[in-house]
Amino acid sequence: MKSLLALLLALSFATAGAAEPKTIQLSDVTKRVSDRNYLVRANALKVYQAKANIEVARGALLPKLNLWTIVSAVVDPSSLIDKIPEIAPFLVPGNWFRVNEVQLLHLAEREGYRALWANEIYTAKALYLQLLLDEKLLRHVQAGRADLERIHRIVLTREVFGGVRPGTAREVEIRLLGLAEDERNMKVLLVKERAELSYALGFAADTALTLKDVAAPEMEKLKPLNTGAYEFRVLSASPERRQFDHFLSVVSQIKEEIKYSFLGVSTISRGAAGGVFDSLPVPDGLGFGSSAAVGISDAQKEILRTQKRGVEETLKRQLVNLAAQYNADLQGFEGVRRRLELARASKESILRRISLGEDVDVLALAESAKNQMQAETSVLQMQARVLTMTDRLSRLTFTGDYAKSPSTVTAIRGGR
Amino acid sequence: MMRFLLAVAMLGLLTACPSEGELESLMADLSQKKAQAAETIRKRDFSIDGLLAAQDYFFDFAERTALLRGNDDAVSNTRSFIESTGVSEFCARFVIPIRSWKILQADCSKTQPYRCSPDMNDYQTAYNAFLRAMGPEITRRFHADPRCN
Repeated sequence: MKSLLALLLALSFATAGAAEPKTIQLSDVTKRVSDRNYLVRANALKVYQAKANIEVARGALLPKLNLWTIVSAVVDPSSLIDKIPEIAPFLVPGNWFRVNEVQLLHLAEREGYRALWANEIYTAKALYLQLLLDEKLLRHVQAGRADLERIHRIVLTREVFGGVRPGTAREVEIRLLGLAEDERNMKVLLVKERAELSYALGFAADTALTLKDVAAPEMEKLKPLNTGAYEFRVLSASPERRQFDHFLSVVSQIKEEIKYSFLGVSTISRGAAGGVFDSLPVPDGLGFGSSAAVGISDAQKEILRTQKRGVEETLKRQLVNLAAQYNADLQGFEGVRRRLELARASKESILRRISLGEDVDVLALAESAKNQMQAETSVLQMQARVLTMTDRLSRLTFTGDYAKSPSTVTAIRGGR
Repeated sequence: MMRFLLAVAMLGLLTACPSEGELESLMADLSQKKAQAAETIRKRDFSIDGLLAAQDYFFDFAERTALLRGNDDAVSNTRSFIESTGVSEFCARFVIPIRSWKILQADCSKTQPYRCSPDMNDYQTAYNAFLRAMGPEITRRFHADPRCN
């Protein structure tokens, strides 16, 4: 019994420093990124700040009294007129418009958070699929290398007995060394990709991630994308564009603030999300600066409209590019599949001829092995690209996983 | 002291949160957007331009409803504005009736995935949230008025 305990203890110590293994699947990515991604968490807190700022702004509408205000009112009651913004801030219209601005900025901040959340999910999913693809490519490189080693051995034997042109073994060895280098590079790439994915999913640095495979898309059943059917959805669901719509509403409120600024200027902060509007002047009292200030806010509106148009055009182009690649892949898949079939048949035929003792150019065999590997790579790459692009379309249209709402700070902290 | 109190009372009338009259001017924009959206639906112009024009209304309506949340003064001013305008007239100027929205919704749901905007999809939710903020009496009158439904 003692020896068994000692063995168990020794085993537990031996594994204490090792990386914690974790198996994940593609469907875990959305939840993991929503709850654990560092950028998402930080931005959820920013939205929380913007929301809390609404309460701060509303609180600032309530009277603020201090001892000196009361004393000065007792000594000289008419002095209270000067202190209206302080003792009765709700009488200053600018303050009400400022509360609206803070509320709108919270909505804008929420859209910004949604965009960031969706981008992080998309990036993590794309990385997951890329990692799976690269794992498969590594296995292909390893299989190709094993094939070439076999060919190399055949060539070496034939060189000894004079069956092949001198120097053939050297040429095969060059290819073999090239594949060995590819294998090493692939392994390093996989380590880097795994680390990046683990970071995006909020795992500890020493977590050893194992990814469950994803079923290949049924390319034959997929239909080409028609951009017209998605364009409106892409534009209207885009949080980047919606953020500009909220900003435009903020500028309208600032214009109202300027209109009523002769009754006092608001000192309520717009919060961190409103920094972009802090440079817009709101003149204090009756003066000649109001029309210029209105002009400045109109120009700001025009700037925002221009930026919004820029976002729209970018989105349209992203959709066009996506559809072009997606449709090209669907169209080209049959050709790539056929290429793989032919490359396999060609290699098998050469191998059969060798096994029957026929005098075959061994370099042709090495070439056909390379062709097969390249065709297999193309098939896998195309399938992975279609999966990634399908997800990209969901990201652009905010459907599927992206139709969900990003986590709030309370949910992230475990108060779901 | 009387003069001071009078001055404060006058200021109170002049200032504070947007009054009913000011609200009307703030709502003018929504009225224009509503007319555009209604036209899109009436003509069944579900082209990208038609839908983008309608989207301006649905976005604005959802945004304004969100601004009412927790803002008692804004809610009370909107209620007074509805009372003075009349529910029927208010709906004619600012509200897309649910039956019109259903026409749009039917077209948008034809394809998979849903081809319209989240604001269009969630219009009924925003509409109900608006009515909840306005209280049971206005809700009842909304439900009874064909220009609102």
